[in-house]
Amino acid sequence: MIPEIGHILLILTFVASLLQVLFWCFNIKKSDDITINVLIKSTFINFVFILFSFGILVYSFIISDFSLVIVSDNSHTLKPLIYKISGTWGNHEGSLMLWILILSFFTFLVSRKKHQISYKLLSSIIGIQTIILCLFLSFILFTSNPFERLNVLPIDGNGLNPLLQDPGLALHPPLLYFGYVGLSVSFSFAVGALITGEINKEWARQMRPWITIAWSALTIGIALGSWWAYYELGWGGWWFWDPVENASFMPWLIATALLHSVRILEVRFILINWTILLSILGFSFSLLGTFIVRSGLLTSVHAFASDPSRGLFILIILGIATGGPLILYATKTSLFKEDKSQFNIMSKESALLINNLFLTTAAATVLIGTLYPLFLDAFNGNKISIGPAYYNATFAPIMAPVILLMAIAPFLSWGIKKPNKIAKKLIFLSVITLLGGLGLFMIDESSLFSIICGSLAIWLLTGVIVDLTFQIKATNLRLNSFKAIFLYFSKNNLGVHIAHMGVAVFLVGVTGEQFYKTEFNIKKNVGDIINVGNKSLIFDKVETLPGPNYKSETATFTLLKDKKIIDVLKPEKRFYPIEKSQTTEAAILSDFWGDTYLVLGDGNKETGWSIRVYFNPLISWIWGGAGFMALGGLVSILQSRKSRKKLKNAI
Amino acid sequence: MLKKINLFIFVFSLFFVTAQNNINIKENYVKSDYVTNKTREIGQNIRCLVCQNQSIDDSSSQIAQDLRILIKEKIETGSTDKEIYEYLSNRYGDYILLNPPLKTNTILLWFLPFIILILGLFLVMKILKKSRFK
Repeated sequence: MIPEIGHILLILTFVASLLQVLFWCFNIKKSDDITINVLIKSTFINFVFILFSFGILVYSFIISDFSLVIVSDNSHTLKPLIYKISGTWGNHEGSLMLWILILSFFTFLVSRKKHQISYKLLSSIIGIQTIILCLFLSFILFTSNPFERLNVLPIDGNGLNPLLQDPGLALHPPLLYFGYVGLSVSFSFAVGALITGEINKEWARQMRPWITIAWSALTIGIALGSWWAYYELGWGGWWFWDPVENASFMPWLIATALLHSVRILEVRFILINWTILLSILGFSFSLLGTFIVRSGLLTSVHAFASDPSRGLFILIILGIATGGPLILYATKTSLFKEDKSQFNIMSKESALLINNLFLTTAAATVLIGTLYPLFLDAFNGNKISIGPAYYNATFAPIMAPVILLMAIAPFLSWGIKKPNKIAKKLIFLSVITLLGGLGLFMIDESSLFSIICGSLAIWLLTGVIVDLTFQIKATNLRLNSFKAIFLYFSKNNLGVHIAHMGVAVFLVGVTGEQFYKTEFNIKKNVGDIINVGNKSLIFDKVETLPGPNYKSETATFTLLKDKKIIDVLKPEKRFYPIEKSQTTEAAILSDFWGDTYLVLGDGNKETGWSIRVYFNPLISWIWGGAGFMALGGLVSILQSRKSRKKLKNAI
Repeated sequence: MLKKINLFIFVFSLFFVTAQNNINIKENYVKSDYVTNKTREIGQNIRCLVCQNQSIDDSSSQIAQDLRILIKEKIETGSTDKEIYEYLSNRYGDYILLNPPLKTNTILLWFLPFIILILGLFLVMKILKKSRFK
């Protein structure tokens, strides 16, 4: 009975959202109090209904209601509670429910900005968001009903793919979807501007925090996915240029470009058309990502549902949501006149414009690399593979100038204002980078790329530090108290600096991991010792241990450095009898300077076990860097809110 | 000023110390086993055909193990990298190569990104040139 309530709520929301869309279409030109209030109230109702429906689905997973198809397919009574809950979105239907929940939540949040956004624009934004909701609801109801019942009640469920039974992966989809769906808000802002013809600096100011929050969530979501792949899949790597990873990375690149172009629009009111186009593309890439993952077009761990009818349906949604606005864009952009003689080459906006170009080209490159094999296969049946080597040769050189500019852009000023002390800053920056590069050369002269990559990291890190130091010096402020520091930073673009520093930290991690790692693949038996430089590993024992819903083969190694015991590492192989599959649990000793990563392979007491050992220097900086990026995003939202409040008070 | 420079030197020397540690390990490793290293290098560019987007170097499947042994033997008998890649692509098709070779059907794949970039640069330069501040 309870699941039926969830189903009915979904149907009700679908009908209601259809009516809302019709209501909006008929009142598109009106912007009175009644129209806007009807639309605002309806977003709240949509959100509450979907929340309840989603809640019922989660409840069905918690009580293991196996009469539901998706619960019996993806859950099991023995599964730990947290994975029963996260199992809700660990499947096709449930993940779509999560998608619309977040979509209706964002729509509800935007609708509360009644006092900041003009009624005309707001009603269009709500209208567009509701159309997207409507499309996705019909997709769920017609092809992927989460509340479908089984005729015969099974004794127990099939369980969840053990690879997905992991805390990192419990959080990865919600954050990623937060990012994907968050980009729908900027999409609706853009389409709303096209419909109403209303665009100004305030439009950009209102839109920017939404992009920033989506971008931050996307950053963390991607980083969590990468971290999960690193410790769960047991290959010692963190990024594989897998189509599914690319699917989330493309919207991120576009969102990064958008984040900067909307800032130009906000300050200088130029690049209007470009910003609108990027807003549309950002969400299109999110939908494309969903399409790639959900259609089963490209197989991967994520593609839990490979049903061609679903793929076709998403393709139609993608077509409507991308094609419609793009046609609108082509016909309406002449609406927006911008003054063309407003670029000063030595200005911040020029640097950001060039960065925009490189970022979008990088996104296009990833798109080409992801879809090219598909098109080639459809075109003449040739099958090719595209691995990291391709991206190293194309993506990396396109991104390198972005890093170069990233350090310099904060030195420059908006418009015609002469930048402050730029020569001094540049000399400082260049000298330190040259010294750093020389140091890297002395360490390892054979690898040119490690020197380039490392130097870029040093360049950016130094750039951020130099800019901050000069800023602090210029203010003549004595930052001797906590309050003074806080006040100072709340006035400046600290968010930008934190995010840029995040990229630098990330690059340090990449340099260490890519160019200085060592790995072994050897066969050893209990009692053997593996010596690597000043570290050694003693293979103590292998034992079979029981887990809550698996059986584990656990090995124990003692790690010594300079003949002193540092830690005990316990890599595992887990066998899940319900799902009939096996996972490897790498043992990872992680610290500031690098990871020791140990994987237990196949073997037995007679022949020994095959063991993989990785030393990955600085690898945790990769995720730390992503953390800083997201933090930078959040700080900049707080700052802009604060400055807006101050502005209000001043007026 | 001096203090600041000192700080920078300190920060960067920290950098080098770690990298230095790992370099020692690496060098021993290279000296001890050139063939293993080369096998791994080539293996990273060969797709494991039965896995999901893994190279044979990453995979522990049977076919990956067999291919690793095959590549190792080829290196030991003096085959060049190119010969090994050619041998594998003749036997299993281009699908096995994770680094797609430049052929007529991959020209677009390899050059499109740079064509887009050059067109874009051209456009941006035009905007910047035309619109000096007056």
